[in-house]
Amino acid sequence: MASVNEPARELTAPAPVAHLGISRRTLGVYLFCYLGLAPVLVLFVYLRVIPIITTLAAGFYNWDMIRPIRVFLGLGNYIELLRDPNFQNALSNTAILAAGSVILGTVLALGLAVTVNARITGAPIYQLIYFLPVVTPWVPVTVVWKWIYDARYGPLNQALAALGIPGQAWLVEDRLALISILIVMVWKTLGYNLIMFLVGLNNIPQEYYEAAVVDGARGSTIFRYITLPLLKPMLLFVVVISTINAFNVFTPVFMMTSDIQGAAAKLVRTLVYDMWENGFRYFRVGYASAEAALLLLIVLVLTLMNMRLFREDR
Amino acid sequence: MLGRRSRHLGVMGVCALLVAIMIVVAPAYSAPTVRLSLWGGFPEIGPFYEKMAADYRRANPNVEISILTHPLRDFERKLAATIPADTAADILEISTYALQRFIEAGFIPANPPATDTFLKGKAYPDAMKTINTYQRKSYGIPFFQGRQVLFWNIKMFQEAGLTRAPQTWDELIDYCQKLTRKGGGSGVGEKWWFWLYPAGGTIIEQRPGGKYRAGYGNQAGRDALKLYVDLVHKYRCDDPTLKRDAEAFALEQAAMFTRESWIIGFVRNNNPGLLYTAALLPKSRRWGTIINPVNFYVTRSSRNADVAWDFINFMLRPENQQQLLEMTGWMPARQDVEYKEQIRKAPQFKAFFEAPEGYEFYWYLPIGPFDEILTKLAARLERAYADKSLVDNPAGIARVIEEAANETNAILRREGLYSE
Repeated sequence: MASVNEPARELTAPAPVAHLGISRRTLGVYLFCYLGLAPVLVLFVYLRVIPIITTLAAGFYNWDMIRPIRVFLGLGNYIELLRDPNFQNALSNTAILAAGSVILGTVLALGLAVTVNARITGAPIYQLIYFLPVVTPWVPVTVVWKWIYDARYGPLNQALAALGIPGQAWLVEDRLALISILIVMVWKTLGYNLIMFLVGLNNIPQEYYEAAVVDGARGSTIFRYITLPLLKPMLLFVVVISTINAFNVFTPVFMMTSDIQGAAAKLVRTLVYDMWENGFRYFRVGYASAEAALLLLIVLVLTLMNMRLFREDR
Repeated sequence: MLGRRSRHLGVMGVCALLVAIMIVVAPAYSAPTVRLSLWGGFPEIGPFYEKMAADYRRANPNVEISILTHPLRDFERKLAATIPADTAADILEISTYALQRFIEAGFIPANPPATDTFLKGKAYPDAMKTINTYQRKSYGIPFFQGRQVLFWNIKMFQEAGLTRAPQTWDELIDYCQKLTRKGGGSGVGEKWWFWLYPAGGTIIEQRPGGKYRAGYGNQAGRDALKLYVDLVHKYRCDDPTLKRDAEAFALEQAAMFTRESWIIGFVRNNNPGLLYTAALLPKSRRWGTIINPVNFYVTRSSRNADVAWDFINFMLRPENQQQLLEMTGWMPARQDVEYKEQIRKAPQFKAFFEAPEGYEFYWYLPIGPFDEILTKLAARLERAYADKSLVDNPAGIARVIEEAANETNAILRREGLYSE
């Protein structure tokens, strides 16, 4: 209790405190940020979050998209999917394509990036050449590759014939059709991975290399102990993005191998193609939604595995 | 008092004012513009539709018709998205099997009385009346049909010492071994049906009570699969590196193949010097071919349904059906029109209009899952054709047929359409 002899304390108004226990000024800053983000967030929720939730929910129903009748099946769609030979085939093909394109796309791009980064003559031209497929839309690319792969008149078989190798039924034979799609996928995405790795390489401080040279390290030793560890974050990014893109492969399969009238091709069934066929050809939207949910789960698990594999040691 | 010049100026001013008023006001008194859209799944028919739209417009200047055609499979996917959203065109040109689900869900109205009467008259065979009827109401009107025959290259046959098309399965196998360049053909499921039917089977057979079951889980199915496996692996009648279908035949890479009449228009445009003709499909235990009508439908979202039907009736006029055959090669659906002139110009058409005694017709059943059944069967058949171990392997062939038939029946069961 204050005594008579103590000087009176100067009374000042306390800082205004909002209900959340933070100052009004801080609240104002938060509000401003969220209001600024609101339009984008609303769009994101409407175009991404709601469709994802709706799709996950639809996977538990039998729904043909045309009538409002939905019959609850529980896990019925998922059980049928796991027994469906088309789904198994699609999963197998997609896994092979994903593994192949991620490994080849990453290794080749890394090798090219290291080569281009070595300040060779015409490096920007090489970057342009490799990046051109990335910016070219999928549809015209696949139309051109379809002709390249043509068994009778395609330039690929003509080149092989010049080397004395018999022409191959690229898009017709099972395994060859898969390899043909894989080649196009790697070709299309190589430039993007190359640019990413170049960015990563340029972010490695030169002092590390100078110090390594002083210590007597050369070539592969520098690459293994300096370049690769410091490139881990970018490697993780490239592998994750490549994995996600590879599992979503659709356009090359649809354009080059599906049953367009008169097409001489063996369908390479992939997960997204199977989903599209189930949903929009057979009108089994619930079933296709269950397949989409499984695809989401697979990609999520693989992404988490990659993150664990490439995490930096602290 | 006004001078002469002033009077002239005044008169000209009044005339100009009257013309301006007419330009502004007159359109309000003219017939309102009616805009129709037509979507089709066969791009080669696009020029025919454009001509029909232009001809119709001459008689009906206030009607504007826009035409859009897509490759068939893409068109079916487009309809899957647009019909439920009521954003499809006024007029759709499509087969019943692709539209059956929408008919059952009420997106396609039944035919108006005049169209219903016309369909049930003498213009169309009974098969088409059956295909276009659902729960005693008619939907759509047939426009053209896909009837399959065997096209054969006269020159290649002559080089092999052959003077006519094979008429039986045994002759087909015999001819295959004599010809240096063989056959081709895409569309696996439907093409297998052409061998399955003569063998005594079919893809789906109707059971009492209006339900269905697989019609090939029997000896006919096994015989048809055995024939095709033998044609591919034993007699080397098919080459997977061949350009498929019409291209292969037009490029003289295939001596014979099965297809619809549009091939005649295709060959005329791409290789008019090709020496070829057409014949009925070979027979076995029975004889026949597929008859697959492609219809016109008016969607429920059409704001000018009466004008749409009027335009459809215009295209169905005899002279326009003859033009369809001449311009595109597609066989018109109307059987009460004379096509002698078109057959005279292209004798290859003759086989399409023949129906000797004992020659039967079969068709896609108007049930929702038919496309799924045929597509999944085709995937199994493709794997079987590539499997050399099935040659002289009756147990292997029986296993393939049994598994495929079980899958077909499972789909029918799922849709509530199965009956043993």
